[in-house]
Amino acid sequence: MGKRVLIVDDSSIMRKMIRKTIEAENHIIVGEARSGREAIQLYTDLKPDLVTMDITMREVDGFAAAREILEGDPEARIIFLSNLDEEKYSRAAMALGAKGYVNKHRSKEILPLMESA
Amino acid sequence: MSVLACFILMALALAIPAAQCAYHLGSRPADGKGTAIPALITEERDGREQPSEIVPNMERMETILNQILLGLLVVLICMGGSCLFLLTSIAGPIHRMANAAKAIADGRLDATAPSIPRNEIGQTGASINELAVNLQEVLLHVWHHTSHATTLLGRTEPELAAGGSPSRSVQKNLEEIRRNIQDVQALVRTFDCYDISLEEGRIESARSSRGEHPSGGPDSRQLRWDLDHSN
Repeated sequence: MGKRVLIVDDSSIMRKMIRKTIEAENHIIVGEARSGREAIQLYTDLKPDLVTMDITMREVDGFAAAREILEGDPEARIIFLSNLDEEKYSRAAMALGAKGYVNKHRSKEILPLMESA
Repeated sequence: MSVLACFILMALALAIPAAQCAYHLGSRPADGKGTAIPALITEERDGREQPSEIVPNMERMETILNQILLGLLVVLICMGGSCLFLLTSIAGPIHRMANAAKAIADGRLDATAPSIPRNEIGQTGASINELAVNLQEVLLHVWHHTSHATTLLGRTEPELAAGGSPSRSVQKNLEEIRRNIQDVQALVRTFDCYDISLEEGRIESARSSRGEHPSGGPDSRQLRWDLDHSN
């Protein structure tokens, strides 16, 4: 049974790409958020199994949104998908409570993480 | 409110007082004795309406003039209100959007077009912002993959040299590939990206490069602790 996924990214083309990658593995996209603020609201409304979260977004960025989601639901499963490829961001994401950190340019690496999350 | 609805409301705001003016000009006065205009040219004599001598009905004229002036005043007020509304709801946002579009066209992808008011103008602003975000995404992909190609070149050349001197043409080709990559990256660098710093071979958060942190949230101190201690 596929997972219910919420995609969070301010770029519509990235959301499209991530959707294609995830739907190819028979997961279901239940919503798309364009900002951290939308992500927080949609998470509350949709209660997805998994969230893919960009970091660099205007208004509320990915780290702030993830923190707020995890405060409301410590069991939330968030995988960061970001352009930033310094290892320090990956460590910060895991310290926050994320289930994984994937570089957007190798977005297919998210699929095994989704299975294990 | 949509732009079309705004213009319809403005047209009504001008048309209604103008219609009222016209109504008063043509209306029958309360005493029922003929219309306002005919009263200027007829008068009651021997129980019948007769063409008037040239005796202007001063009171009626005054009433009509007052009504016209009042109508004009109302029209002027409505026009003033409409102009103010046009300025704040349409002209102002369009001006700001034109400035933002120019900045984005000049490579400043961190510029933002107004997405308020929530009508066609706001929607256009939001679309311009989305275009800038998508363009930045493409550029970052280009940066990442060209950086990776440069890294591979850096590994390939010594391996080739270790296996015996590569031919002159191979060396030349590798050098040209490197130059092409540098040209592409120089083009990417001409853009100012939102919260991104393009370093040698990597992509960093601009706030992180300045000693700030990627998260602007309320627990930014906690995140700084996380970043520092994860190193």
